[in-house]
Formats: sequence, structure tokens, C-alpha cells
Amino acid sequence: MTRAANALSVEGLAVPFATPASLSSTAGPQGLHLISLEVARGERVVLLGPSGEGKTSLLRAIAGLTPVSAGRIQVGDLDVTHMSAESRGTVYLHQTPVLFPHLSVEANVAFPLTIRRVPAAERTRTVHTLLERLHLGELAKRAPHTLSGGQKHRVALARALAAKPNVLLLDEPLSALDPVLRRDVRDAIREAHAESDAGLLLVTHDLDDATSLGDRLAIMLDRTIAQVATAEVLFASPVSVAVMRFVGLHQEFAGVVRDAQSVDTPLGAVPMPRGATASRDALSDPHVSSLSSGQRVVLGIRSDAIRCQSSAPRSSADRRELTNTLTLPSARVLSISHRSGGTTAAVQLSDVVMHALVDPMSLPPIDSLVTVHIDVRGLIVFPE
Amino acid sequence: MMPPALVPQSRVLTSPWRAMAIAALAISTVLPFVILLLQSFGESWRWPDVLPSGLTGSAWRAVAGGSLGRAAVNSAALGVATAVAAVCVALPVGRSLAQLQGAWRHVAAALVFLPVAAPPIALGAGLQIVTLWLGIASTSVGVWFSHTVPAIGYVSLLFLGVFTSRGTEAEEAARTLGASTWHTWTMVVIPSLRAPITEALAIAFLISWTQVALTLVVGGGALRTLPLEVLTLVRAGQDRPAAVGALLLIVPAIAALAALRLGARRTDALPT
Repeated sequence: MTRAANALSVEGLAVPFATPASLSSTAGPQGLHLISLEVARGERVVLLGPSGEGKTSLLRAIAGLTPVSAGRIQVGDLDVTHMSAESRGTVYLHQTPVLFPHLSVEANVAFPLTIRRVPAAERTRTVHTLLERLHLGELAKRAPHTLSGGQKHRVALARALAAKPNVLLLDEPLSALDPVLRRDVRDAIREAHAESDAGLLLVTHDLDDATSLGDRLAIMLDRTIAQVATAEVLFASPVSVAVMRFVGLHQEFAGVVRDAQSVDTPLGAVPMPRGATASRDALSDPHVSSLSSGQRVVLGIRSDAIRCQSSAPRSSADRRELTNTLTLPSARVLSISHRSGGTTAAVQLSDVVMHALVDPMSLPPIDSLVTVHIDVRGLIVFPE
Repeated sequence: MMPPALVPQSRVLTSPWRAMAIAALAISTVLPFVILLLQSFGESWRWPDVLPSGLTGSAWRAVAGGSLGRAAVNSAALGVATAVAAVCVALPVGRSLAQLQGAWRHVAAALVFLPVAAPPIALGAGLQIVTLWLGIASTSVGVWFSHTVPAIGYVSLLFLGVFTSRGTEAEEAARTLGASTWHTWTMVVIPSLRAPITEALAIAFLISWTQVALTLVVGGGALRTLPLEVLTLVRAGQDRPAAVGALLLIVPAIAALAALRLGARRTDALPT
């Protein structure tokens, strides 16, 4: 018999939020609805969304800790929708690692093996391997309360892997951690999952964590899954204005469709974003084909597609780069911001303010005039 | 004019007044026990003598094999049985209460607290009817049942607090790791609650050990417990054996206090 390719398949799931009374038929507007999601074996999918969208509820429902009112959850080949938490083959890790205080580190890691009556020799071998993999070998005899935050996360991960789950569910493991500990736990998750074929579903609020850990990102909006895609596709082709706004990589402008080739915006006429990239065609074409002249639209421009410079390009190489570039009339520099993602200038074009990447080695003076270049491959348009 | 000297607040609080207050507390706490001790060993002690006329250990020697000894054994057995039963019932009750939400939780907690808040004599009157229905009135089992009811109330409230502060995360973690309900309780919940369980056993034992009204009303003298025996001796004017009985009553209280202190020191064993 062949194994299912997916570690987890969720189909049309509804999870009520509030009271058991709302379990009656469908979840309704108060709960998660129409959740469909697949996680392949060995894949890491990161669940992203604003607070209160039900990301934790979804994880708990998959783990069997929260009842569902409709839909189907399949782990591997098995329909687990109505099975108890201990029989599902899913391990749920709380935001703060929950270690059993009366057990040593190695006894904690051995716990899933102990309850399955795994022979002592095999148990010891597995625990030792996992402790070494997660750099916990020297802490084996320690009590949980003597461990640092990062070490506790590592122990919880080792214990979860000892259970040999089909699906690993991590509920915001990186929130409320300082940057150093965050990196440590992020590495631990990668190391822990590297040699496992379990599907991993992880919740985070942080886009950097998500792109760093996830093979694919699932965006939750309005209590359902709005889009599941790789970071590259998600950033280039958000499926809706809501997803685009949540991801926050685009700057937004109102516009009106002039014709099939262009959109009128406060920045002037910009080309209709069509056929810029192969991956985007498939998603954006339906929007574009449904647009008509005079229709109001929302134009998104990827922030990293907007650059400004003090003088015009001089070399032939620069001119080649400008093949896909829309150059806007002179803009006035209002301010300069230095961020980890790059240095940006707030610039004003007539009555529109936009933010453009700027070369930190040759910053334009405040109030000076600069030229703004927009890479048209970073444009996307949605009906208003 | 010289400014008044500033006296640190801590010096004011550690003034002779504080020493006197502590001394008064110590005397009022310790003095009755000293008097009981002297009484238990005194040959005769009549007003206005400051001390007994002579010392004898006869009352203490009479404990073994006497009515006081038998009553102490009865009380100890009853206390142990009450403590075990109360903890067995209160553990799941406290956990269930902690999982209730909103008004239901308050209502359920109030119901559990009712046998604790009700005057023992009123509770005894009610329990007497129940034990009559059950056919265990005026029996040892009836007395054990009547002691267990208020003990469950006290101990359930204790576990309600424990489970509320701990949450159910450890249980959830165990379950998703593959633990059955039995494994979750025996390998996670109970071992991690060792300190609160010790406290609960001590409290339930003391509730039974010091019980007079319920033993009298429900037991009707069928089971002679130590408090009943001491009461009888006091009413009969047998001061020396009464003092011995009273001191015997204190011993488990001190042991329970020590257990509670020990438990309090271990309460840092929360899920990490």
C-alpha cells in the first residue's frame, strides 16, 4: 500500500469559536469556515494572519483539542476528523513550551516512547539521537525549570519528534522572544524538522519568520484561508487587495482604467500590469480581463520596485535596466528613513507621497528633486 | 531651632511595641499547650498553686490499650479514609470546575462551598437524614461519609485554584503526544500535583480529625473518636486524661502544618 503524499489534508473545515451551542450545524460568521489546506510530507507551511483570525483555533482543531462543526481532516491516509487527540498522529506545541516539571529532560523526551511501551534499549537510542540532534546532550539529566527559554523550546521539539508524528503543529513558537532567542528557536525548528518527514504547520505573525521557515505561506483573512503560495508567488501576485494589504509589500494608489493598456493614477498613466511575469499572468489575467474602461481600480506597486536617484542614468548598462521601468517626473524629497530592509526616501509627486528605495551611499538632500523609477513588473491591479 | 531627628520607618516598626506584640502572640499560642503538658503530668493541681504538686506519667501510660488510645486509632483511620476519598473525588471535581466558564463556574463553586460554609450542626442534621436513607446512620461508614462531604468541599476549592492557575496545557501536550486519559492522569497530572495533593490530604485529614458535631449527630456514639473522648473526659472532670487527649489531638495538626509548609516550598513545580 502506498503512503499518502500529503501529511495533512483539511477540506471545508468549520470551527466554531464561542460556545458549544454554536456547534449545532455550521460555524457561521463567528467561527472558521471553508478552511481547505494541504501540507505535504516533509513540507513546512506557515500560517499567517492578523490576531483574532483563528489561527490557533485551526491548529487546535487539527490536533483534536477543539471540536469542529463541518469538514474533514485527514492525516496521512486516515480520516481523523472525529478521532481523539491522542490517536491522530499530530503533535501540538503550545506557544510557551509545556514540559512536564516532574520529569528530567531525557524523561520528557522519552515520554511518548514510554507510553507506547517502546523497549528500553530502543527508547534510550532514540532519545539520545534526538538530544544530540538538538544540542541537548549535556542537559539530559537536568530538570525543566533549570533550562533557558531556548533550551525549553528545543526539549519540546525533541519530545514532539520522539512521538514520530505525521503532522507537527507549532503555535506561535517565536512570539514574545528576544531577537537572539528567536534566531535560536528558528534554527532549532529547522534542525528538528530537517530529518523528519512530518508535515509542519506553524503559526506566526512575523513575515520574516514566515519566509525564513515556510516552504509555503498560508494567509488567513476573514476567518478562512485567503491564499496559499510560496513567498515568491505571494509577494508577486497576492490574490486580493486584502492579501496585498496584509502582506504589506505594496504601496497602494487609486486608479481608473483608461484602456486595455493603461491605468490613470495620481502618478500619471501607468501601464496595465499584464504579462510581466509568467507566474503572475495566471493569477492577474482574470482581474485584468474583467476590467473595463472607466472602472475604478486599486493599483499596487511593490515597494522594492520603486527607486529614486538624484541624477539620470548615464551608462548603457543603466539604460538596459530601464527597459521595464516607468520614469516619473521629478519628485521632492520629504524625509529619509533607515530600516533593516533598506534606506527609503519619502517623496512627493504633486499631491501624492510615496516611498522609494534610495542608495544609502549617495543620499539626496531633503527638499531636493529626484527622479522616481518604477519597475513595471512590480505592478498589480485589482477592481475597487 | 534644630529640625526634629528623622527616625527611619523600619526602626519605628521594630520598636518595643512590636516585641511586645510578638511576645503576647507567642504566650497566647504556647501557654495553653504548656498548661496542658503540665496538667497531663501533674499529680494534682489545685488553685491557687502555680505548678502541680508532683509529676506522674500514669495518664500517658494509660493511653496504650485505654479508651483514649482506641479513640486515637479510630480517628486516625477515619482521617486517612476521609482524606483519600475526598482527594479522589475533589481532584476531578476541581479540574471540571476550572474548565467551566462564566456564571456556571461561580454557581458550581458556590455549591461545592456550601457544605464548608454551612454550620456543622446544620450539615449534620441534613446528613443524618441522608445516612438514614442510605441505611448507614449510626455506623462507622456513616461517620466517614459525613466527614467526607465537607472535606470534599474544602479540597475541591483547593484544586479549583490549582487547576485554574495551571490551565490544561500539560494535559493537552500529553494527549497530543499520544497519552490516553489514564496515562495523562497517572503520568502527568497526578505526579506534577504532588505538592497540592499532599496539602489536600493534610487538610482533609484535619477536617475529619477535629470533627465533633458530625460525629455526634450522624454517628450517635457508634464510633468513639478522639475529640469525642476528650469531650467526655472534660465533662466528667477528668483533667489529667483530658489533657493527654487534647495533646494527642494537637500532634497531627502540627504534622499537617509541617506538610503544608513543605508543600508550599514545592509549589514552584509548575509546568515549565
